[in-house]
Amino acid sequence: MEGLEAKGIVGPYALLGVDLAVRPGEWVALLGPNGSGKSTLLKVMAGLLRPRAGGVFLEGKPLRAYGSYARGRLLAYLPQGGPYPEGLLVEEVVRLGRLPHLGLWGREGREDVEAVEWALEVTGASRFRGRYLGSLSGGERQRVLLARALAARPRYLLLDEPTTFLDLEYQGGLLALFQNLVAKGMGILSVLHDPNQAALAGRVAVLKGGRLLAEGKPEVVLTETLLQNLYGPGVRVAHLMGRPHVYLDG
Amino acid sequence: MTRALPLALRRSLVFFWLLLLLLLALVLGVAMGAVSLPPGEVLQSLLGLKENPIVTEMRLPRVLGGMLVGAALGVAGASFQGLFRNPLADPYLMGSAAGAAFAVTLLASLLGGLAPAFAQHAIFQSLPLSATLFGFLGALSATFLTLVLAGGAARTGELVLAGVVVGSVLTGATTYLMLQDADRVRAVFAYTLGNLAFMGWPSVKAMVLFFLLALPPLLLLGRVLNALQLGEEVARSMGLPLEGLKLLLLLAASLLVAAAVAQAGIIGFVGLITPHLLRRLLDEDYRLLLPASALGGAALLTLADLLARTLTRPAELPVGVVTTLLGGPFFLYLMWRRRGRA
Repeated sequence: MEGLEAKGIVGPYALLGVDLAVRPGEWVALLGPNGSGKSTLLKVMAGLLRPRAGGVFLEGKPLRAYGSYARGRLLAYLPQGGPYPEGLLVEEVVRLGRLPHLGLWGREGREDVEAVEWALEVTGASRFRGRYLGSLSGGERQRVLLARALAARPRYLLLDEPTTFLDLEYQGGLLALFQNLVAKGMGILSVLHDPNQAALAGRVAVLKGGRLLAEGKPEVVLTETLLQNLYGPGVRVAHLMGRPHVYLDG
Repeated sequence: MTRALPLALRRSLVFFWLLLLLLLALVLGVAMGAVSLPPGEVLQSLLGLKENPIVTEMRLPRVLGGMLVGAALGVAGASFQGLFRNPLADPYLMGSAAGAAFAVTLLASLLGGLAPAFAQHAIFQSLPLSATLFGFLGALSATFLTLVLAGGAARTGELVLAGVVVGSVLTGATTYLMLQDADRVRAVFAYTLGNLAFMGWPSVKAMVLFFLLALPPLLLLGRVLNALQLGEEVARSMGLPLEGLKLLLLLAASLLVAAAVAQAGIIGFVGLITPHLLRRLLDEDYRLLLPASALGGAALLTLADLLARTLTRPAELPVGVVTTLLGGPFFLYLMWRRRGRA
């Protein structure tokens, strides 16, 4: 069975029995209010947290059965915020993304160099490859960190709020990049807090109180009733060009 | 971190200057002291062309030993800072040096009191290896205690506070043990304050041995320290077996601290200052920062010892007094700058 699947995940923290799958060539947006368990679920699916019950399966095999480097080659994880090395050059940061392929002492080959170049290119980070991470703006930095994740050329990309710190232009660029990667066969699971961004994904999964509230195509799932249930009675949904647009009634 | 020079050239220049500084420190360290020797004579004896017991038996082991102690402290400091992702993590501030000193003193007093050992002006010339291994356990226990008290290494304030508490209690206990032998209180005190005067060839040999053990894993794991700067979750998500690697880094750095403390007492701030200065000249790339910190720590401590030997000539200051006097204000400056940024 192709895909990255979480089955009956209970715990840690808020999760109360969640099933969720991402297939290759599919972008799934995970939406939900603060504290609903989105980030926790993402970490469980990245193999970073062990659930109390249930399991995660990668291409039909339990995730635990993979070696850690093998898992790192297939799944790349980008946390929300988190520390970053200010004094490291952008290029070295992205090259760290090849660690799952190289292990501790592997020597970089042509494939590694190409993957790093590709990651710098698609994220638009190659312009500042020779700069220090600490000298970049929040948006530039986020693209470098994404390039690090992409440099492993993973089959699945797990992203926690990847559009934080990005201005509108780069948010748009990033979301277009996701669509592009998905078209090439990558599976993406991204936690997003903006329902309008989630509306661009192929599928939306809505988490509330540790349970999956709804799942399906954005135009089906993102109804006014559901969003009011999530975010309060002031939320309205308009439909423009067949896509839901969410706004607050002022 | 200026960008005027091409990166590779800038990096090479930093290493070139460090080596030059080290060479200068070596020659000056051997030439200067209670009796000054002309540089020509120093070079001749260093090259083995002329026999001079002041050089070969007294100053050379002291300078070489001091370089190794400084290098150990520099590398250990850089490793701690990378490992705990905390720029103020340092063997001295984290109490690990105090832990090593306490364990070493405990061993010495268990083995029949400090008096005979101090009488020879080198507690550990007779037992440099076992002292280091015992100190290693002390350094590790103190580091763990500090981490437990601080609830991890993430919060700088808590870490420094816990380190200072652990360090003070252990230093107090060390002093108590030492005062059991009140006749030798001066020698005892000189050791606690950090001193290279006890360095002889046995100490140098012990340092070389522990260096050969601890340095290779640290230098080989520079990339792991780089990856750790992205956060533990990211490092683990890339497949790095962090539990084992972090333990290995901690063990290797603690062994260097213990070796340094066993030979020279508690010398503060070298492990803090060296990587900081080098970070401004190089990058935060630990593959470069670790070897550079070894060279820089060696040069810094040798020059500090030169001050210690010459400032109050013919009397000597313990070198730990000099590094603390220089390092304390530097530490305050770092704290002040961090607060400015936050």
